[in-house]
This record gives sequence, structure tokens and C-alpha cells, in this order.
Amino acid sequence: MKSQHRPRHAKLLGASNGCILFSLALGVLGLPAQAQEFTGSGFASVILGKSLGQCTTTFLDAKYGDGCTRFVADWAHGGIYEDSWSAKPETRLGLQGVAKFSPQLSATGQVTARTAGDQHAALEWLYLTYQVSNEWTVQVGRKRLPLYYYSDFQDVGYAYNTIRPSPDVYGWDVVNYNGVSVSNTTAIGDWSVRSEVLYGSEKTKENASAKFFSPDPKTVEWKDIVNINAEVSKDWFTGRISYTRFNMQQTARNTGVVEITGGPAFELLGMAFNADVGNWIFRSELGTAKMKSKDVDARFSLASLGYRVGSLTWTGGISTYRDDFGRFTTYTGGLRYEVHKGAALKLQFDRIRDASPIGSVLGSSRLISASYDVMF
Amino acid sequence: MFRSPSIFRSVRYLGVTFALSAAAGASFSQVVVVVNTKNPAATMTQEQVSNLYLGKIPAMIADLPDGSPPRELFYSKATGRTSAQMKAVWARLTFTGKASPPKELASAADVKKFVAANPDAVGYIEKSAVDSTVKVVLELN
Repeated sequence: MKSQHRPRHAKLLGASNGCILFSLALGVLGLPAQAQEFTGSGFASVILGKSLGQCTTTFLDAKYGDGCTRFVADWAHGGIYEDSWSAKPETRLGLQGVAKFSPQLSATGQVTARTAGDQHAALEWLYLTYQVSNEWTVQVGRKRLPLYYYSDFQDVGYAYNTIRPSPDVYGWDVVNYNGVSVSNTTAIGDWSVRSEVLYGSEKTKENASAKFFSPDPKTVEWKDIVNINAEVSKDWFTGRISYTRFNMQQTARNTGVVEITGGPAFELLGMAFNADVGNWIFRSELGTAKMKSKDVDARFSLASLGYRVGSLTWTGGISTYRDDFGRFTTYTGGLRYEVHKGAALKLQFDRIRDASPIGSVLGSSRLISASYDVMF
Repeated sequence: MFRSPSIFRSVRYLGVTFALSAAAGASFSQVVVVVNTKNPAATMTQEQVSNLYLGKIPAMIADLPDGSPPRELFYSKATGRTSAQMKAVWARLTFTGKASPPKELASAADVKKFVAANPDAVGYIEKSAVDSTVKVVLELN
């Protein structure tokens, strides 16, 4: 949606830049072969869903034209629900290992296996962390892009109350970067402030989002990515702002034709306002995406309110996406149940209204989904 | 009136028993936050402790075992969060590389050893376990 075309994520190839950077860093630092301490952890989600509603025809590629309705749940990895029950679009398993070399230096790797699309496992994170001081941290390697509040932990279902952060805000064709990040965490009285600057790039061969609209594989690159973000919190309040800028290039793999390149940079802005007061959980976020030369001028937002009663958390929310071509409004109602330690069951209903000026891009639909989210 | 000395003795005995159990109950229902005796901080606010244990400020922090009553009490008083909510908070932090979770130790004695060995360390224990090896910076009740 955001970059118009939905290219497809290629297995571990997109991670090659990250691996190179990571290996270079390890070599330069002359690390001993043995780590002092190694910790393994992970998370998993098994998610089942089905779309329903009145039949619509859409701009999606012909392969999605047989059924009546569709719901794109995961733009970056090709997760789309159709009229029959499926666990394929969002089910995933993440495994993380952290090797600690010294109190200041550690290496982290995280591989996520998904049932969506064709890929089976992808290296999502592979980075070296150097704790320069109590406040300053440098990380080099491959990580997820912290575009918006949930962006970097979007895969960890256990960490939030709905089944997925709304695709209206969180649907992107590129979600990782290979590069450097410098962050600062500090306290000013009772306020905690975390700020970060990062620089990197990402290249996805056979981009998953592009595949939704065209059968021809596309390579989508985000080059010279610069992101600055800051999160402040005190007591019940958490606020976040972020700015991301990059140059996008899209190439048709079969013909080698460069379809999108040059021009002013793509710019993303985001602002989140969250409140956790007693049993109430309020989340809200506003975002914009602009790329002048390609007529991209999008606005998106979400707001949700949750209420916890013992082991149950009820959440209701609304999200929107608007640009010159697409207009979507999504209404969500969900329930989370803490089934046992480290595991949650969720049930959710979504209703998406497609009122796009150019005609049904995805089509209106409803989605029923249920998930089992764990961490270990 | 002729049995009064023995009645008096029984009442005194009961009174002492009540006082003892009340005292024991109060100690058990109180947790305190402790730091190294050389730590310059004389006190910490509940807000500051909450920021440390929610991973908002980097620190060397210790936890008591998952599911133990002093731990549940600590988190509900210091952060207002349930243990499931705390798990979700730390899931976000550990899987995004923003912070390392608290070190889970087996007992108050281990927490005191950990805090005494590290000038920057912070931990919490039942009030009854406090001794001169650690400094109390906050009482939660």
C-alpha cells in the first residue's frame, strides 16, 4: 500500500548485508571464539483466521481473484487471509540467542520461521551490541526498523493485547535494515527518555508486498535509511516520535527494468501517545508517509482502548489509512486471556471498509481470527 | 477474682501471641528495595524503582523467583503491573535488544549477596530479611 507495489521478501538474501557488517565488526574487535555466557529464548504464535463478507473484485493480483473476500494481515511477509480458514498467513516462531563476551559486548541473533509466502526462515536480527557507558549503546548489524511504536516487536504477539498491530499503520514492504544504531537511555527526574539514531539499508529480492499486486517479482531497496526516534515515559504516560527518511528503488527482476528510483526521499513521520492507567490501556498513533515525486502522500492512524479484568483484557480499536488512491477504515474488537504462564489466547473480529477513490483496492471484508501466543 | 492471676497469665500469653503474629504478618507483607551500602543514593522514589524494573532505565537489577509472594507484592506495589503484564513488558525489551531482564535469584540471601557485590546493583527483599550488608532505599507497603 505505502510504496504502491508489494515486492517479495527473499529468504536469507536480504540479510547478506547484515551478515557482512556483523562479521566485519566481530573480526575488527578480535573477539575470542568462546562467549562467556549464552542465553536462548524465543516466541511463537499460532494464528488461525478467515475473511468473510460480500464478494468484491479488487486490484489484487489474479491469484486472489477466485474467492469472495481477502484481508491482508502482514504486508511485509505476504500474509493474506481468504474465505477459508487458514493458519498460514501469520503463524511464526522466533528463536533468539545472545552470546555475551564481556559486560559491555554481546552478539544477538534472531531467526524467525513463518508459514506465510514461500520463505521458511529468515534472519530478522543479527547484531553486535557495545555498551559504551550506562547511557550509550551502539549496535551494528541487522535489526528490524523501528518505524512506529510496535514496529520492532511486531512479531512478538505475547507482548501486546490484539492479534496484530493494525496493518493500516504497520503494513510496510520493508521492515528490516542493515546498519548502525546509536541509542541513549537516561532519566530526567522521574521521566525516562530513550533516543536513537540509525543509518542503514535493506534490499528485498522478490518483495512480498509487491507480489500482492503483480505476479512479476520485484526487488525493492530502501537505501540511505536514516531514522531518528525518541520515547519518553513517566508514570502512566508514554510518548514516542519518529522520523525516517530513505531513497527507494524498485526493479522488475525478470526484465531488469528499474521502475522506481531517484527523486526526493521518502519520508515517514510518527507520533504515539499511550496511557496505562490502572486497568485501562490506551494506545494511539498518527503517521504520515510522503514521497513528492511519486505522488505519495499518505496519512494513517490508530486508537484503541483496552480494559483488563483479572486474566481477561478486552480491547476495542479503530484505524485508518488514506492516500490519493486508497482509503481504509478498520474496526477491531478483541479479547486476550492469560491461559498459563507465558502464554495467551486471543480472539478478534475486524471489519475493514474499503472506500478507495480508485475502486476496491483490497475490498471491504470482515476477519475472524484467533491466536495462541507464547514466549519461552 | 481468685483465678485472676492464672486468667491474667493466659490473657498476657494470648496478647503476646497476637502481637508476635501481627509483627510476623507485617514483615511478610512488606518488601523493601535495597542497594549496596556504598551506593550514594539515600532513598529512591517508587517512580524511580518502577522505571528500573520496567526496563526504562538501564541498571543491574535482581528479581526473586517467579511466582513467589514477595515478587508478586513488589511488582504490584512498585509498578502496578501483574506478572503477566511484566512478562509482556520484558518480552518487548529482550526481543528488540533494548534492555536485559533482571537477574532472577533464588532467595533474599542471594539478592543481598548480589547487591553487596555490585556498587550499582538494586534488588528487593522481604523487610524481615534486611541486615547490615545492604542499604534500604524504599519501603513498599
